[in-house]
Amino acid sequence: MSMRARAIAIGMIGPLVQGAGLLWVLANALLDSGRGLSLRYVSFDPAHLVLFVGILLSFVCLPIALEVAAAAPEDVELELFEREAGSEPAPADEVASAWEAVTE
Amino acid sequence: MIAAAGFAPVVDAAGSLPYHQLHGYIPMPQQSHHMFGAGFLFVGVLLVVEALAGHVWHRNRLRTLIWPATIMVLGGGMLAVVALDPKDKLIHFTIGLIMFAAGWVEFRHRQGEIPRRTADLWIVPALIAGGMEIGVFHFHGSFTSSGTVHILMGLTAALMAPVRVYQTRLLTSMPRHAFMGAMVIILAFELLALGH
Repeated sequence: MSMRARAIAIGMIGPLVQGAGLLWVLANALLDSGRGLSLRYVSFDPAHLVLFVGILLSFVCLPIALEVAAAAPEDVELELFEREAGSEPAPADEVASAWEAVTE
Repeated sequence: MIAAAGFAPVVDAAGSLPYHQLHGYIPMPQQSHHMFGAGFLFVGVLLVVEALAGHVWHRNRLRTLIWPATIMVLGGGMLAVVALDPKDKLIHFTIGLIMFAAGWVEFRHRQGEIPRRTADLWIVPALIAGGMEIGVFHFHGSFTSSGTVHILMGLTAALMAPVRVYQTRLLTSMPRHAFMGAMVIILAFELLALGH
């Protein structure tokens, strides 16, 4: 997947969720137009919540999309949180080895 | 489940809260499910973004820890539900505890303190146990829309266990990482669709 495609996908994901929320709100308004609009209703209504999450995601994802667009291909490889080889093993590593033996 | 029964006095103490006085401030069960759904939708989408952004995502420590931190907050929220909702206290308590612990284990893994497979030793059984609790015990044997959605949620949570193992087998795979994000998004929409 190219950097450009990744950046576009990341940048569009927030507005996409927002759009889904907006469609849901509109569908609710069409199907159940008699319902009043209170703060409690807006705070817990799933359609409004999806809309809010979409807005939040747009703010979070936009800078990441810009960073990805400017990044090199090796910068978008997935991060491994494992300890580097040669460092002192933690006691938990022994448990991990046992788990590895079971799963392989 | 047996170990969790030891916490029964704590759970019972929450039962003495003045619910009638708090009425109006406490979200209804349906509303708290929707709030949790919104939380899962947020982190689920961010997991997909994390898969797409790779190292770029982890340039900021806060972004690296947002996934386990949100799971811990949602687990804490579930424990708060125990105090506020008089129904199904033990189920909510154990799910909250499992979620909090799973978030903490993932947090430690992301800090580089424990390897992925050690984290999986807790997270994989936790997903299966969580799925069982939601899908079997929380279902209450009723095939209403709420009961059916709880079965679906339980199935989704339990299916995350093999997805997690599949992801662990090739940690550098972007589609496998995004797959887990997609599962969390499915769980989120199941919670959002829930109507009591």
